[in-house]
Parts: sequence; structure tokens; C-alpha cells
Amino acid sequence: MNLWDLNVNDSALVDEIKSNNPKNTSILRDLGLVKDSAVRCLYKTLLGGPRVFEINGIVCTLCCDSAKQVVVKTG
Amino acid sequence: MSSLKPPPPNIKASHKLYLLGHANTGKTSVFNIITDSNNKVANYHGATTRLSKKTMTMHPEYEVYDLPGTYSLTGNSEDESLTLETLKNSDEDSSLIFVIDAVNLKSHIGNLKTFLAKFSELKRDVVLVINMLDEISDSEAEENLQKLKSKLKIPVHYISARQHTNFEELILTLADSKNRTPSPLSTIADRLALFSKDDFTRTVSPVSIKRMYTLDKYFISPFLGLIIFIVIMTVLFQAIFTWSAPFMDGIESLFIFLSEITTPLISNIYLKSFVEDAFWGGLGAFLVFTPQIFFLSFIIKTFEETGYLARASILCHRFLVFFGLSGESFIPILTSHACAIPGAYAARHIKSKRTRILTLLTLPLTLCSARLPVYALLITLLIPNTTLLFGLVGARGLMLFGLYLFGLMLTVFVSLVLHKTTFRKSTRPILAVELPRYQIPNFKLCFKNSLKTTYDFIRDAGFVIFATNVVIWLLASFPNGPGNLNSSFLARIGKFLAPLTAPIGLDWPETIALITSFLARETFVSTLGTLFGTDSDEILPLSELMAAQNYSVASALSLIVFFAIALQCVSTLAVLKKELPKKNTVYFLFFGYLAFAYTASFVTYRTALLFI
Repeated sequence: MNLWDLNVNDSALVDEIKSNNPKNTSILRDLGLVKDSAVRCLYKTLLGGPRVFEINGIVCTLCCDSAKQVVVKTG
Repeated sequence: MSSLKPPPPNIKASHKLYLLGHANTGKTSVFNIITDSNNKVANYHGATTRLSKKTMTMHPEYEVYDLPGTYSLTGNSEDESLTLETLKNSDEDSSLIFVIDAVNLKSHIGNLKTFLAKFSELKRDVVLVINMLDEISDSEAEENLQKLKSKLKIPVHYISARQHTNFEELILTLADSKNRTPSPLSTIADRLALFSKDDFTRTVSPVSIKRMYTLDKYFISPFLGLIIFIVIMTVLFQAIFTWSAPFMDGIESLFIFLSEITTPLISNIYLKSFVEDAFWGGLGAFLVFTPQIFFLSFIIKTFEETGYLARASILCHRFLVFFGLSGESFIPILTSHACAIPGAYAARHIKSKRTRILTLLTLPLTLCSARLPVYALLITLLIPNTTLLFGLVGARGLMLFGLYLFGLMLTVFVSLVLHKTTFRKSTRPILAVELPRYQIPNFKLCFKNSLKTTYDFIRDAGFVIFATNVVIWLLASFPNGPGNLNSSFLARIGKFLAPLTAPIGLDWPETIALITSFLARETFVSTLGTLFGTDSDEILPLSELMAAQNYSVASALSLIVFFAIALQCVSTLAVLKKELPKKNTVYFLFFGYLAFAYTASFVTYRTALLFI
């Protein structure tokens, strides 16, 4: 599953970033999305707009295209 | 405090101090305090996109460089690349001052370690500055300070740039920079690696974090968030006209009063006409609109400090993506409502090159402050001074809000056309940014900065306006003397050129004013002020002088459309030429928007004639 599949208040750990674009990978990594980082979905917005996540205690926003590139594991 | 002592005279800066760190940690606030500057500060990531440098107030041997914040080590945006390049090319005897956030200390220490490891081959003096002391407890600060000092063996300071706390010690440390021996950055990175995952973990969240979670429930909520956004934007743009109205009336009355008391003292007919029409009439017609520029600037600066703008960009992202832009375009577009130049610089923070170019190409269409005097004049001519909704909303303010919406519609329309044609093969941009915490704006600083913006606006446009007024007055007063406008040189030039603008409903005086507006948009108003003043015996506000000429509604609408689209700003063109990857694009942009403006004005004028 990926970050976009998380519901509000769901938590997970980052597994890997699957992106064909190295620049996108770099942007996501710089936000702290590296293997085993703790993530939690905080808010969803209207009409599939960007969602707000807590990544290692920092609050970030990711759009659908970027969140779908982050593979996460739960449980 | 050491900063109260006078600086030693004639000392040349010999040592460089670079302010570095994650975005939105308060580097510019630190820069402003230690160099006594007023650089723009804002509560969102990417507020600083250009390099600033200035000598330290009390220690002129040190030159301080304020660099854009960095997330990345690869330079994902123009501003990040600038920081990384500057760091690579820095001298060995320079010092690096890393500013990090006390609230996100754990994460920022991790980023700092990665950053230093990347530049492990460099040797520099390093100072660690932990900002936002006011947001954490004293015990937490003390405990972390001891840990960091003992393990890192570099100067570490906890400060609050907001409350100016602990700057005496920091300035003393910085003033001693050239006496310290540079350390290999790899060594400091190794020392940072000694901290475990559990270090810097806190049990109680700071108030600012709790406040953020509470407010975001409403501001990012699917429906309520959108309603709040629409209400805030409506009030924001309504306020520009409503709040400034009494001040505008005051300035107008003052200029009429000054004209009435000074002109009877002059007996020479030419000098009398010059003082009355070119000086008081022309400059007054322009200066009367400065309260609007002040309020626009004040409102935008206040919002920039709250942290709300980053949330607004989330709400707009989905909408903007449809038009080829992204949420990252929101702040450059909003900033362009004050002036397109800072808007163009703010676009440097956009990570996608394609989105950045599209934003740069379209942001000149937003209703900037230079268009405000023109629109305010035309609105006064078109709309009566009445209120709607039980006196809550002014009709003129509502019209201005409508014009702001019109500017935004034009922006997204042109972006959509380019997105579907020139840029259709490009990949979609992504949005992935950190959200700032909310904070109460520093109203005093916002007020001070807005006054400076207004002053800069008057100073920059003032010379062009005054010089144009003198030329216009000379051409309008000769060869037959003041009061004979129809037989003046200006009338002959205007009537010769009028066939060019007749299809868009302009008579020769507006044609002349339109030509002068290509120097700066606001010159249009002052030119008309001089022109109509020369032709009238009475001292009246420009709107009343124009109304007395039975000014056509269709022509006013045509002018509004022309001014909404045409790129009549030499300074914006110069900045866009620098910011766009291909220098020639700016010429296409100028002539393209000119052709578009003319066509749209023609259609507006002809359509208006059918109905009015």
C-alpha cells in the first residue's frame, strides 16, 4: 500500500519510494520519507486535493501523485 | 548590549558569515537583527529566494550573507541551487552559521548531519544557532544546550529572533569568528552522529504544535476550509478599497487645499498653470492612491506571517493543477498583487521548472498595485459611492474585488492555453512541502515594512511621473498658452495617433495617457490629471474633471480590459528577462499581451456599445 491509501489518523512506516523521477525521489527523501520513518495521515482535503501527513513529527502536505510514490507498511 | 555601541569607522569587511539552514527557521530574522536590516520575513518555506549581504552593525569587519533555505542536497529549486553553489565557492576562512528550529530540533539535527556529511571535504568555522526559544520550555532548552555543547565542541546558541532574546552572546560569538580555527565538516557530522534516536525527544508538545493541530482542523477541513478561504480572500480585497477610502479623501482634499492656497500667490500665467496642473494636479492624482498600496501591502505581509498562506496553497493546488500551475504557484501569484517583481522572485522556490515558467509567464496578469490607481479612477467614474448588503459591502469595493477575480481568471486562462499547447508534453508537477506553524503576526514590523513599500513605490514611480508631467504640461501649454488644450502641440500629436486607439473607444487625451503608461502604469492617472487640469479653470479631483467631460462607460470598460492584460512595466520585463530560461521569451510576452489586450479591449468596447 502507499501513503495515499492511509485514512485519517492511520499510521504506518515508510518502506520505499517508487518513483521514475530522481528529482521527485529527492524531494520526498528531503521531507524525511526514508525507510522506517513513522508517518500518520492527519487531514484530507476536498476533491482529492493534497493531504496532510505527520512525518517523524513534522507536518507536511503531499499531493496524490507524490503520496502514491511512497510505499508504506502498517501493523 | 554590545549592539548599542557605535561601529568603528572605515573598517572594510574581511570575513564572511553565511547564514544557512532548513527553510523557515528564521535566518532572515537573525540577519535583520545582526545587520539592522528590514529584509522580508514570512512564515512559509521559501520566503528568501535571493542572496542578501550586509556588514554586521557593530562589527563591520564581518559581512553577513543571508542564503535561501535548503531542504535538499541536490538543488531541487533555483533558490536551493544558489545556496549550494555559494557554499561550495565559499572561502576557508569564512564561517557557517546554521540556524535550526528548536521545535523540530530532532529532525533538523538529522538534516544538518546529512548536510555536513555531503560537504565533508570542506573546513569551516561552524556556529549552531537554535531559534524559536520562545516556543519551548526553559528546561528543555537548557538540557539540549548542554548535550549539544558537550558533544559538538562548537559554539551553540539558543535564541528567539521574534523576541530578540540572547543576541548579545550570539553577536559576541560571531565577532570572534575569525579567531577560531576552522574544523572539517566531516568531524562535526561524525559528532552529530553520536546523538541517539531518543535524544531530543520531548514528552509535552509545545503550544505552537497544539495550536497548529487545532487550527488546521478548520483551515484544511474539506468544506469549512474552502469557505474560510473564500471569505478571507473576499475580505482581503474588499478591505483595500474600503479601509483606504477615508485616507484617499484626505489626501485629495489636502492637494486641492494646497493648490487653492498656492496658485493665487503666483501671477505668471505659465508658472501658475504649471504649479496648479502639472505639480498639484498631476502628482496629486497619483499620490491620492497610495493608501490603497499601503493597505494591500499591509494585508499581504500580515497574512504572510500567520502561516495561513501555506494552507491556502494546499486548498488551491487541485484547482491550479487543472490550469497547469500548482499549489506552489499560489504565493508568487498572491505576492504579485502587490508587485509582479517580488512575485517573480518568489517563483524561484517552485521545484518544477515547467510550473515555474508557466507561473512567470502568467503572473503579470494579476492586478498589481500599479494598476490600482487606474482602476480606482475608472471605478469612481463608473460606480456610484453606495453600499450593498445593509451597508456591509461597498459597491466600489465589490467592483474592485471583481477586477481582482478578473485578473485571476486571466492568469489561469492564459496558463491553461499554454498548458494545453506549448507545455502539453511536460510531466505533472508534484506538491510535497513542510507546513509552517501558525504565529501571531508582528503588526509593528508589518506596518513598518508596508510604509517602506509605499515609500519605495512613490520614489520609484515619482521621478518618471514628475518628468512625464513636465513634458505633458509643456506640450499641452504651447504654442498658445495654458487653457488652449485643443490647439496645443499635445492635441496635434494625440489627434494624429488617435486613429490607432479609436477602435477601442479612446479619444486623443486617453491615447496620450495610454502611451505614457508604457513607462509605468500609474503614469496614466497623473498624465490625465495634468491634461484635464490644464483644460479646466476649476480645481477639482480628477474623477470629477473626467466626469464633467461625459466620459463614456464603454471606453472606461475598454480601458479596464486593456490595463488588465497589457504588460506596461519596464521593471517587470527586465526581471522576467532575467528569470526566464530563454531571454527572447520576454519580447514575445510583451507583444503577445499587447495584441491580446488590444483585441480584448476592442471586443469589450464594441459589445458595451450594443448594450449601453
